[in-house]
Amino acid sequence: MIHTACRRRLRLTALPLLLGLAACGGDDAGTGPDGGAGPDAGPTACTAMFDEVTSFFADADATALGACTTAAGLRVADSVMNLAGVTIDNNGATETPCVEVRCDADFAYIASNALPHYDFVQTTPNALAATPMMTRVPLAPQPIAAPAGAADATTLTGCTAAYDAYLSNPDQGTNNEPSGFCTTGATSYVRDQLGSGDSYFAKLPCLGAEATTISGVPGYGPNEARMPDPWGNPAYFYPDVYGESYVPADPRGGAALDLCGGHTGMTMYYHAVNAACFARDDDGRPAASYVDGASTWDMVASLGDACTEESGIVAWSIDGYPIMGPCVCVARAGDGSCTDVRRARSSWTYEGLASWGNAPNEDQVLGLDGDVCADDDACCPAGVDGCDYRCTPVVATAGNGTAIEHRCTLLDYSWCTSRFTDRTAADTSGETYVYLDRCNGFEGPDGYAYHATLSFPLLQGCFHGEPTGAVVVSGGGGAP
Amino acid sequence: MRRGRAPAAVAATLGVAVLACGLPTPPDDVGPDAGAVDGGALPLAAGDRVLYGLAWSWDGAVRDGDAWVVTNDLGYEIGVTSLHLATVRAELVPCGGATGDGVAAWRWGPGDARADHVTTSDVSRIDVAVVEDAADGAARDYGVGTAGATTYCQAFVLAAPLDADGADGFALAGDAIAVAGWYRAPGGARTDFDARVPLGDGGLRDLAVAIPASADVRDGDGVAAAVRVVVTRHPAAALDGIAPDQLGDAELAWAVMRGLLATATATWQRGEAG
Repeated sequence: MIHTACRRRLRLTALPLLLGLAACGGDDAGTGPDGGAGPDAGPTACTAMFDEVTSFFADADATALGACTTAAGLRVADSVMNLAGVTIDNNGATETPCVEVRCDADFAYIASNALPHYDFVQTTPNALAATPMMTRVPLAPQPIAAPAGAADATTLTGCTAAYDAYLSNPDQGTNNEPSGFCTTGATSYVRDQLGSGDSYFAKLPCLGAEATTISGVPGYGPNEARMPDPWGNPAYFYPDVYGESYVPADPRGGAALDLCGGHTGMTMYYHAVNAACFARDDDGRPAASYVDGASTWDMVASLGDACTEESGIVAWSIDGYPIMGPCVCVARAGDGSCTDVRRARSSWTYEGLASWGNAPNEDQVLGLDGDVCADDDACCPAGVDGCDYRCTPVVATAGNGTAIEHRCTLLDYSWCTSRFTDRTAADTSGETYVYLDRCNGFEGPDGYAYHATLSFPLLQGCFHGEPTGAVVVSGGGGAP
Repeated sequence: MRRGRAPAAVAATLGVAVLACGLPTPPDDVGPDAGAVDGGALPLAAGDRVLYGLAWSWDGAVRDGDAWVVTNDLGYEIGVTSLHLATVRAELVPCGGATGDGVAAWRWGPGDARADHVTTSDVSRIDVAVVEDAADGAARDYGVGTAGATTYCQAFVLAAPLDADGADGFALAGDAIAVAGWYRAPGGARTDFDARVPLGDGGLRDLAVAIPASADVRDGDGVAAAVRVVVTRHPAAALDGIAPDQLGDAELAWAVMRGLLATATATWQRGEAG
């Protein structure tokens, strides 16, 4: 935790400097050969933030920060976008996003100003402002062992409160995220009893950042806030394909993610990642405009089609593991080439809030929850306006396995409408996909990595490793 | 999410019904350089009726045959023969509201929480889906909202893909904007374009006072309102910075839409009832 004294100092002294720095141009910045704007590059608007590293992390030492030279550090540095010379349009104003990486012995530090790398798509009245931000990523991620006090996952039944609340009054949400699968307090551990043995994980923050994208923007969990759709899934407002009327036209489209996966509340936030938007060219520069990335949008294909090429890194979790795109390399040849690329498939299936109870009036209130559907009208016979459902392609239970199907998805209670099933023993040898673990990760030939999916939990379902890093954002405000 | 096609008349029922009558002529001084008074903080009381209007100003363009013709800052001559835009939402933004009302520092990670979506929408928000024909320059009533007890500083409008027809029968067919015409690069030949894009975007504009004196502001049903807020789009200014020959159709349409939103002006005039 950042100390109170440090918070005060940051607010009173460092912030004006940092905010000023964030507003400075970086057009003349050099380009690191690794694709990231590393120490060998010229200064950018983010460069001076490293001198103020103790404003973000009180225990850091600015003099110890330098070029990332270890394999782990270089992997982070090489993965971030080269934003040298990139400017974006922000509601008519020109802004300069920046992201840079430095390392000390234990961590990589990603400094950024939390701007998207493409022209700002303003889906809500929340403005976008350059905001100094630094993320600390542990270079030696530590898988969670067997922490004392870890709760048994089967005891996390808080969703029954959501079920009761919804049946009592669908328009009145619970005050707090009810599931128990994310935390609003200190780091909290859970034990899964899997077929392969016990597995431990740490909960994501319900409302805080868990990762940072390679463009230097915070990544969040799979739920929105209490308003307007209580703890809802931001992805259920998405269109199926590019060209379909979608989020902003929806009167209930409070979440309003753009088709790259983000929205704003001063800084940009990503709840999901459309990997096409985060493609880089050979110099590490953004390879796609917003239109380029958005035009690839196809939810069903992104959930179910076979992959032809392994995905790159799109973000870094604060536990030190990368978040990669949805195509997983599951085997490599001796020359390093990938010999088996599969689609990442979440092991969370849409089961609906109705799965958490059996009240007599359930059918009246939740009767359509999880039903197979063709369009929104099928889920909203009284009209889409004010309806709590959307027809969304999801990973659904099919026999002993899963299938990609359109289901009536409840906009509320993201964690309570999807359920994790242990699929470590599932035989996917003849399939074009592999199942991810509870955290949305996979242990591959390059080690463990999360994989961004457009089904729950989108980026991560939990922390596979100890979340010893953090995302510190200075200034601004708004809504994850 | 998959939805059925929404004719304009049906789409309008998404929120407040589009007013039946035409918009009173927008103030003459709503253009970006037309002398609207900046810093138009607008204090309203809870329940005050807000009459929203949408307008177009072709200042900076000349009419030539069937086209509005602009020479933009990059030297391109651009003729617009057809421009249709889908607007789906408008709202007022409280001063210091959606843009954050303070500076703070947070450590985001396990142990900390922050989220607040209530700032994403104000009670003044209306959801009305309309397909506007910009080329005819017509202004129109957009809808009536209800204010909160606060002072407003900005207006937000949202354009989004819409499967609906305009009043002139033009089918937007799932796009947010459709713009057609021709362009001529400096020293180049004339090239026709017909560009569309099914992507949405919003514009957040500072409020300015159009006419400091109050007026008798009424909606199409003759009901008095506390204030009229008019969002005016300026296509000539919107086309600045666009090099059509370097953009694909979707990118061109996207650039025009973003320009329209970024150069829009939002003005208000107090109603005598307010």
